[in-house]
Amino acid sequence: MKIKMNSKISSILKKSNSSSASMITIVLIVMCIGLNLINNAFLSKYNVSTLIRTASFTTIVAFGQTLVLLTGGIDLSVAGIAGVSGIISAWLMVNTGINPFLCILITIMAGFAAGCINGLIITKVKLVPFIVTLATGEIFGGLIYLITQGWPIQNIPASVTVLGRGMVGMIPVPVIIMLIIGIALMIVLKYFPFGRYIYALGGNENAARITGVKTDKIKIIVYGLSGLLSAIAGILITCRLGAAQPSVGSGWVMPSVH
Amino acid sequence: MENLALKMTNISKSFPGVKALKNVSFELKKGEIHALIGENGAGKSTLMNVLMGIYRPEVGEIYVDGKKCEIQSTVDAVALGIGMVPQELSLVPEATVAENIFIGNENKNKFGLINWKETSKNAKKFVNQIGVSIDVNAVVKDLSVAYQQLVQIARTLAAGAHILIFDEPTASLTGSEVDLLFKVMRQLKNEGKSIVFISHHLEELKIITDRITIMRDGEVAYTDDTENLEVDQIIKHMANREAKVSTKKVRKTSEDIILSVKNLSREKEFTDVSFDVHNGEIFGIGGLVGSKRTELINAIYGITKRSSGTMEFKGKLVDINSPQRAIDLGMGYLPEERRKDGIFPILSVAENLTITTYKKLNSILGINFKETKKITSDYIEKLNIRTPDKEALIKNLSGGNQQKVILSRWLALNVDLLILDEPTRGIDVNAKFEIYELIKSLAEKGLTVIIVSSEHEELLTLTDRIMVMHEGRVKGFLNSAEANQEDILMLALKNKGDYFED
Repeated sequence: MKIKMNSKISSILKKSNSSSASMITIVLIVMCIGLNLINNAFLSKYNVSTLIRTASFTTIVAFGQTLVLLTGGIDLSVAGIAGVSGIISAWLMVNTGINPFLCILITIMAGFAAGCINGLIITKVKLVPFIVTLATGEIFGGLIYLITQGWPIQNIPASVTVLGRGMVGMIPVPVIIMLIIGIALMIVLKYFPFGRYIYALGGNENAARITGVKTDKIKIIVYGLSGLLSAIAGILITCRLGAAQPSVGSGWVMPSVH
Repeated sequence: MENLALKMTNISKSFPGVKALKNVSFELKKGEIHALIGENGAGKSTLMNVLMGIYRPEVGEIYVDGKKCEIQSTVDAVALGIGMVPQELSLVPEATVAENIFIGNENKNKFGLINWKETSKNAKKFVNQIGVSIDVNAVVKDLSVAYQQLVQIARTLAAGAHILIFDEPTASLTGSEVDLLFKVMRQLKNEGKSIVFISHHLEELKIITDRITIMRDGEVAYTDDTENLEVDQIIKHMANREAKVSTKKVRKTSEDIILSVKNLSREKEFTDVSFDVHNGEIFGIGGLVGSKRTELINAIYGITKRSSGTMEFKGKLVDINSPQRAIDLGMGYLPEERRKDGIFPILSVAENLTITTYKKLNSILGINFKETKKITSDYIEKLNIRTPDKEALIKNLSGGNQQKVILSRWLALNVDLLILDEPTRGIDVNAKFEIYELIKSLAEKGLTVIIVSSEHEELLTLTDRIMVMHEGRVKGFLNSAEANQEDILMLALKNKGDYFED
């Protein structure tokens, strides 16, 4: 019996050996089962929904980072942009009379603009993405303390906190948002020129230029999208907590890369 | 035997599909400046690479100072006192002259740390040896190209070289800088160093060298003292003497001009280039390495910016400032370096072939992949592209098949003018002829083609007319049906004379 099991497992392992993604999936499943054996609260409905909700914020940032990585660059400013977006959206909601949803939209656009600034510096001034985004990330992160003086902004309107806290059936709203973004990006990457150009650009920038791909424009938009997605994640965290914390998002850079 | 610094006998070396060196023998006397010349691909570089231990010959012996030796690597070559001054500057721009001279060969103190005092003292010694004054503490990037080259020479000397190989050292120098270099070379010669001088400037050879060895098709065609050789003779030996009688018929091409380039210049690259290309013509651009042909077409296609001059395309004055613009006007470009500028290694054959059509085939529902698949199948069949299937990664295809995919990329877009830079470089003989046939049949159907090639035979068999360039200038035009390789070399290497026709 035991031997049969072993051979089955080893055959599964052999098959999955070709793809590291399926390997990771197997390890993940084994770990989940293991953890549940140690503490059977692990796979409870509450724990799982909290877990995937928390993961969805970083995943949204990682989507943007993935686009940037595909072009052969890196975006270290995601933490800064996410943090400052959470703060700005909260500040607008609390201190101006603007409709909270409009505040969110404005902040998302600002996130896109901030990302485009990265892209512009990288393509036009021709600086290395690592240096540029490291610097702008620090600037955006610094803005947080300029706005908040280190204090959290509280009393986020209840109409928007549902975006961070709500549930649709058994699934938390941020997870749904994450899934929609993920599917949309997948479609763009797979079926539209913009997506294919990103792969082309990452594969061979010279060849992309020669075949008429506007490489600078694509790069600027990609960094813009990374900024936009970071902003969404920052705003969702604010909605989840019901308050904008100055330290939110500061640890997102490395998780977004792997 | 005694006064020979270097003797190479019966060296043979082949690469897959080519015999690069056939029984080559080469002698270098002590205190001699010996020119090594030949057309592109004649075997000069291969021979020098054998000497430097980069290639291992299949057959042949090498004697340094009368002693037989095995050169297995560059380390061996350097230990034997052989040094190469490469054509391209290979210094560390941010480091000082002294650091560069001793890079990889540092002066260390007893703790194994670098002894800076000793470094600059010794660097001064080697700089003085070549008889020029350079501040050894200056940062290399602040020096002019000529002085950087001298630093490279000093570095070779510091490594203990007494046989120096100069690979086209004058290519990027101005007149007075060349004089300075020659002064240094004479100084080295007086000290008993032996120099192999590779160059395309025949006039220079007359001034500086003692002997000339001419290579052709991997063989030594001729060796003699410089004083016995005239420029005309040299060219005759360089060209294929048994030049094939061209069986080519004169093709009738349209009188209409599709591309007219007037006084095009780009600083430090090419000057005052003017030419017309007719509708449906195969127009060749020839010349030796360093004639700036690629730079010229890069500027025409909008990859680089021209400094001055105008271009008319299809009768309209155009300002092409990006490849995108060139494509919109109806041009396509096949780059010289397939791996660096041509293929997308991580993408499939289908995507590599149809990426140019994405914009045209896009809609709100995304790219019409049904259509791109059809285009891909069409061209795989039409051009006989050998690939396991459409979705195979292009990097797994052979060079010739990759080239066909890149060609199809432009054919699928129905361009009017196709610019090909070295279309058959690094691909096997069969694929080469397939591509020749393809280009011919496309031109029959009315496509205009500009071909840049270093293989003069290729230009002669394929094109209708050839523009010959040398060092960024147009030296003249030839009708391919009436010309042979010697004519191309004559045009390229001789001073402006009565060769201007057309």
